[in-house]
Amino acid sequence: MQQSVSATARPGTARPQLTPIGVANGVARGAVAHRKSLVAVIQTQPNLPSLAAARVAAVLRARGDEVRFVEFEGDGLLALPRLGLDADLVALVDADDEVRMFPANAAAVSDSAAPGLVPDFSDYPFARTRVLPIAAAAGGATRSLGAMLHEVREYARRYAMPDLVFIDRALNADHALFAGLIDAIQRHAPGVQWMAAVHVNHDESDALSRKTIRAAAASGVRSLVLRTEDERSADRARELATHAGDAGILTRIVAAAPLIEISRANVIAAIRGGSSHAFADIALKD
Amino acid sequence: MHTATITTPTIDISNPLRQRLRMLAPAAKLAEAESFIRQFHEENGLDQATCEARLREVRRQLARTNHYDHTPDELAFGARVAWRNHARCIGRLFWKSLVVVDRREVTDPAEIAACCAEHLVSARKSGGIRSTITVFAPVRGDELPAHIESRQLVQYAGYLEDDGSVLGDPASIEATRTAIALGWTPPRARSRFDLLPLQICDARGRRHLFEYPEGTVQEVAITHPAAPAIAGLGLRWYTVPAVSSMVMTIGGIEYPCAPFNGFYMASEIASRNFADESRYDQLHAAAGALGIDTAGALWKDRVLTELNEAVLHSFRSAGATILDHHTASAQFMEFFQKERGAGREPSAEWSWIVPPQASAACPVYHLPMQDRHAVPNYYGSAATDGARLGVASAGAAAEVDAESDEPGVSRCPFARGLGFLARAMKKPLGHPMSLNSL
Repeated sequence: MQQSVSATARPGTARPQLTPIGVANGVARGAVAHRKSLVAVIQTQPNLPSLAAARVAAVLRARGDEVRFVEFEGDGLLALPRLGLDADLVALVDADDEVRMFPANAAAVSDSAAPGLVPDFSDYPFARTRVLPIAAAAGGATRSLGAMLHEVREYARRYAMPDLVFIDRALNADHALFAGLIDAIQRHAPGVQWMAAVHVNHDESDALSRKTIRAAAASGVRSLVLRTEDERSADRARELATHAGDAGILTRIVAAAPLIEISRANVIAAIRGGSSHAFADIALKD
Repeated sequence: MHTATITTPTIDISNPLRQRLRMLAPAAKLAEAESFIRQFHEENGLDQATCEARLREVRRQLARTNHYDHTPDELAFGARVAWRNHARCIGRLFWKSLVVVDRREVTDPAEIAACCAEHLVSARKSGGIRSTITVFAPVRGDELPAHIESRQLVQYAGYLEDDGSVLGDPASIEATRTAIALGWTPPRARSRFDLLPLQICDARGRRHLFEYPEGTVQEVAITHPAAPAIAGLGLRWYTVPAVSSMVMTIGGIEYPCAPFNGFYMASEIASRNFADESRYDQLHAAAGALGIDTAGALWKDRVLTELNEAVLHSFRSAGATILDHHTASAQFMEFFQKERGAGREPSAEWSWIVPPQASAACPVYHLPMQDRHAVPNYYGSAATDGARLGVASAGAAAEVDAESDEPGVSRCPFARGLGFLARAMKKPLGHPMSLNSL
């Protein structure tokens, strides 16, 4: 029988250590050596992880915090004393993905603390969901194609190809971004499936056509929410829906709403098990 | 007035490591433990009485603590069998020679980092590169140990520039950002091949970074035996590929911190790391250096071959072990037959075993394969490759005839005609690529 090569240190000999970065002569350079943080998420859509919570988790971990993550139902403010009893900082994420920090004067946990970090969804049980949200907008403006593709690539690598739902903005609000995603997404994450919302204009100024829709299907689009402005655009939406159906894309036509917005809070809980059909149940917020 | 603040129990969904681990029910853990102990005794020719005594001890420990400790010999055997069972590795002919370093007593991140540095040096001490695994503390009951977050012990940084371009390895952009946020200072003159610090998560989930001492990592500058201009591309790579983010599972016990290395197959560096668009994307640059016209349809094939030649030449010149894909493929065929000769059906995943270069010219391309999901094994996450591992999975897979058209049998989808593919896809075939490939 082959023996193991045991490398246990001899008794009485000190084991070698490497010095951690950020520590000089045994003293941590940072002001806070050990912070315990809690990300508490109000449970509204159990099958779609919270993008805001994942952003916060990424930033907290990237500054070296010990991070605990909980989901709960009920009133966050009232539950806070119990949830955050032993935490130095609590990030409370509500149903609309708004984040409140406690104590309120805690250093802001935002992208500025660690620019561009990809949201950290690794706390979520992926046996429960295979769909991840990805932001199409940041601070009201469309994000860059490069940043979004990087995020897609990173999700594919970390989470073995989840399905993606683009939220926060109609994807064709920026024609170049929409076309760029369709063109490049499969090169960055081969096999990825995704869904998005687009707005439909009666004057065809929405970058949508039979050709675009077929290209979108080839790039992995499995569902589109078509948002119409008026009856004239509704006619056009029905025509586009026919093209989409031919290309294998599920569609839902949603009548005019004052604001295009898809958020975690209004994603129907039917997203289960990564089925592409689940995309059909994602609705717009009115 | 609010009276009930929490209407359902709070769900503690932390932490990332726990989410990646297989969650075995006590009965399943016991089944895997018993199966492993029996396998250990059978394959090592130990007597039945010793086996039964050890089984009683393991059952007792599991019942009391939901954990048992492997003996050093069990650990070494388990690590080697985990490699033998791992369906995605082409280099398993040498599974018996895996060097197992038992560091289960080490839990401190600074000591783990030192052991990793030692691993990288000792793996190449004997002239070539020896396949080695260093095993740190396992999960004990509900208690999670420290683990390594870096995908490999050695990685190059990737800096995303403001214009969207990347300096370095795009696969490491996030690891680089995180390292910088944690206090790492990149070299003053950033390059495409800056070594990233090792990122370790302690038992409480806090991240720690460590830079290796000088001389820990051996790197090779890439040159071509007949095309000096390739050296001008400034490419280099490290010699010891050590995977550090996979979980080793042996007999129901999970080892989330067990970095292991083999040695490179040249196509992993030349055809993937250097060539992939999502990595260093060097095909056009290499074509320029080689004077290959990019107008024709096959220019990429020619460049890839020359890049493979360059990597093989450079590593061999430096005395670092490396294989070409034809040799690796032949070695896998030898492993396959040896396993069958030993009465075991080898586990393999076609899409991972077949090299990215000259695929159909390698014998593995034509070999039907089946992933038996047997344990012991290595996996990345319970949600993906770890999901089907287990004693029962392996048993069920063994019942599937390797020559059948069951979807569990992986092979070149065109080797058996379109009927197999159509059934697997559950729809008629209409994809022009499929037809052309026939």
